[in-house]
Amino acid sequence: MQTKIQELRKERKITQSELADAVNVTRQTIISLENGRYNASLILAHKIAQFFGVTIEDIFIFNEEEENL
Amino acid sequence: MRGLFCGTTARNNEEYRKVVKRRMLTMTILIIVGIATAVTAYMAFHHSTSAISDHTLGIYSGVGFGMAASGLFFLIRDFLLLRNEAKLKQQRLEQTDERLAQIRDLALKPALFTMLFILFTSCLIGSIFYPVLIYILLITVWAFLIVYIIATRYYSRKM
Repeated sequence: MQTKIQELRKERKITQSELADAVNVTRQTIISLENGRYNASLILAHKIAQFFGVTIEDIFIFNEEEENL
Repeated sequence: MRGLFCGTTARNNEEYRKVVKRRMLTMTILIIVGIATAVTAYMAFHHSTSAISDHTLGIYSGVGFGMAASGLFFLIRDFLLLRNEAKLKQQRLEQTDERLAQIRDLALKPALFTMLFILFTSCLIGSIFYPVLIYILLITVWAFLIVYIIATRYYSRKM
């Protein structure tokens, strides 16, 4: 799943470590989320959205074809 | 092996501190069991009427000292960890991170399959020489299946 985490993070000048600390995950998880290699759980998605003050849909780009829907 | 069977849901360092303290208690038990294993073997070798062989003594004392030494190593590591907030946080994140938990779960599948395959082949070949080995295989497989079914039902009710 593609995300706008990197975009939002750079826009607000937040490092991967700072974001990882804020949502209680490792920096590697943030890297994997940004690269689209890992799909966040609903709880983590909610935490990240809350951190940036936006909705989950604003960050996570849900591709219906990719998810076979 | 890092983090195997170590998943936790601790949300902050205070909660994780309790997890580490519980783990330290487990390590203390491991040390006691290890020493007891080695001492029992030593006593059986020197004092029992049904003496055990040198080879068996070597295995029992090796396993015993191995358990005690690894328990002591992890006990000291956890003791030092409790005094270092930064490292405590780092380890908490590594053990509560959902991606790492998923990786651990995925890695367990091939590891479990390999273990069962080796167990099966070694028992199949070994049972030619030692027929009792086939019973060990059957008990292990049945125990695995029973625990798997019970755990599946337990989590089905919980979720």
